[in-house]
Amino acid sequence: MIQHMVREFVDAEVIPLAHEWDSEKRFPVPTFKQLGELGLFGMITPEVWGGAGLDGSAYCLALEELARGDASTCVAISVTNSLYCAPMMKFGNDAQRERWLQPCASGKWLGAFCLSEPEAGSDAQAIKTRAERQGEQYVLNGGKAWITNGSVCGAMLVFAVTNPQSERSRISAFIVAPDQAGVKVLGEENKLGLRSSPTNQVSFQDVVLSASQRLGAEGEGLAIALDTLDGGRAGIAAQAVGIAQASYDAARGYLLEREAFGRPLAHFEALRHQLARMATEIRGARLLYLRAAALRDHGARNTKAAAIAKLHASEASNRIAYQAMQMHGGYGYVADYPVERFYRDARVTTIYEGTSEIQRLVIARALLADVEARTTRSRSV
Amino acid sequence: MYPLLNAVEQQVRNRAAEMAMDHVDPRAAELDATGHCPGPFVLLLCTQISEDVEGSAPTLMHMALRLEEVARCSAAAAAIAGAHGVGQFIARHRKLTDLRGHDPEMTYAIVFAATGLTANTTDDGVILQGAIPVVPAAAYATAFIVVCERGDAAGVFIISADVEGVTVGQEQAIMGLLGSGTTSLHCDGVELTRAGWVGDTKLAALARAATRIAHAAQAIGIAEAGLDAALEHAASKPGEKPQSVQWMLADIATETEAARVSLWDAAIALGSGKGYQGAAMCRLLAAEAAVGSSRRALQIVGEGGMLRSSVLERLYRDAKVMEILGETTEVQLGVIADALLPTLSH
Repeated sequence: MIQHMVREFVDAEVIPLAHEWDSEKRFPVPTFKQLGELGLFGMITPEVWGGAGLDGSAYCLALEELARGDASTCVAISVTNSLYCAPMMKFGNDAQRERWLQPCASGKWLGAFCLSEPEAGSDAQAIKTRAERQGEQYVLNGGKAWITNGSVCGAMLVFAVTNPQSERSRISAFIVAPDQAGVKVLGEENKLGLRSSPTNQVSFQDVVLSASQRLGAEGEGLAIALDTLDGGRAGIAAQAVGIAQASYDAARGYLLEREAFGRPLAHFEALRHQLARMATEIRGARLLYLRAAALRDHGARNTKAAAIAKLHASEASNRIAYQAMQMHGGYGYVADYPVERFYRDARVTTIYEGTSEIQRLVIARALLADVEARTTRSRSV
Repeated sequence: MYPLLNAVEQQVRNRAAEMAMDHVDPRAAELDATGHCPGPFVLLLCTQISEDVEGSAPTLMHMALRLEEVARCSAAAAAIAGAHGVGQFIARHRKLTDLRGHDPEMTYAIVFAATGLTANTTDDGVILQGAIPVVPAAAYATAFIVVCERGDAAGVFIISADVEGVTVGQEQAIMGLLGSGTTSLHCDGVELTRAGWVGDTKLAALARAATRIAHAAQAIGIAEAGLDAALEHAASKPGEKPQSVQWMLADIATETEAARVSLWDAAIALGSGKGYQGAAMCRLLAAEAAVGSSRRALQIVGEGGMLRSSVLERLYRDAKVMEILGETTEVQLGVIADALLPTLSH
């Protein structure tokens, strides 16, 4: 259902304009107004809080469709749903949900997630932004980097150190409005890909936060961040698959239309086999993100499954975008053909919301932790 | 659509894992060393793979789950079980009561005639003529499901191994799957009776796809066995594991899981008449996952894994066979490409 609705919307309203948005680095405000009205900001938020109440699998299929049209559009939606609305729903109280979740989930504004700092990316524990408790309030100081939706969001989830002495409960999560005194959203990053999605630095100078702006318990911040990222990974995998699918579609079309040595490229075995491999990888990656999402929907832990999906889909997406450009030859290298954008957009998928290196550590850690639980298979020889 | 096992499938998988540990694992090394599978063990494998699930015949998905667990202990044993499982799955499409269909001692092998063997119509009926060099489990089969995709009488046939004109060759000394009974099969003017006809070319296509499913399951079992061995080795070393080891473990698990979800999707789709392309895709991914897993697992274990007595040495040989035996990876790519692009005229 949602998949078909988003597919139709993307074909009609996104694909024809995505190139223009990308080349002008323009965030398409009117399109996002439509996306909000369609209910895409709160896809996995329950209806009672203004969302669409979808399960994670349907949500990921919708993200894939968005990314097939435009990965920049997809990331703004993915961050809002997975990294803003989801933790707000899971860890917020009703008052916080009413104030900070409902308007976002019902499409009024986008959300942002502020964890990374210039000197702390994969090593989230090492953040320095400080929220100092002063009576019933906190005072926030510091700065965040690579914040998707920074300049276009209505609220942001900010992680800051509340107890520098503690190791496990060092960090807490806060909800911050961008128009609060002391919050400064700085100029946009000039990026390789996702060029129509604004990415900003955000600085906080003596921002006064009420206790009601703290999400979850004090010291629960890192747990909230990691759980939220677990939930988001299947979405990034879906995004990577969407870019791969767009690359595949473009490559297939080109093989059929372009001739060389007197016959269509589609008649050359090497290219046919490459295309077959692309399709095979796409299907595998899609099933992996669906599995990760379905496990979470069923209340099972999906840390390993989500990391596997994200690792596999993002690496495959890069290979596939690379191959699609290769098949296009010189045409693929210039911006007249969309594969040039797909190639650039695919790149970040192995980097954000956990690099491929971090996914491998997460997977290996889970495998080694499970080793005792596996059937012992000691062989006689 | 969502690759999760239901309760029945979970149970089938757990039971298969227990059975494999109890009965297959203790015999795996011997199978490889002697290159021969004793008759009672062949029967056990064939009985287990085709055992009913909640009173009904097992689906391709059930078969895939069972085969993976058998292959996790012995790929050769899984080759025997898989050949029988697919053979019986195909034979069931027609109630083969008149040809020892209910003989509990009947074991199947499946033969893809391709260019080596043709079925042609003569005055005497349909005659099978030719030879196939490599047929998994042929040495133990009491009946062959012969899939002829060429010739004017193309279709699926069943022949008894003791019928006149059928000769099963010597067991081949191949690099892997030792003990799987892989031999050549010669048919010299074998007469096919009406009773031996199982289905037309549509069934032949299903037999192809079901065989890809079985081979994929077998390859995933090999890949999982590589992960078992690598994890066991890594866990036995105290302290933090080197990142090089963690990387390889993660890559094995990722490739294996991608192949497995593709297999489950195709096995379920094929049950409802779809998934032909998916079957080729999962066979491709699974064979490569098996090779990648055994290569990395052997690297993790190091010198100990090179010993003839190590399971890794066997896995490495068995895995490579999966990229070639029956159908190469290139055949899968060609099949997939034909479904995605206009077919090349040859």
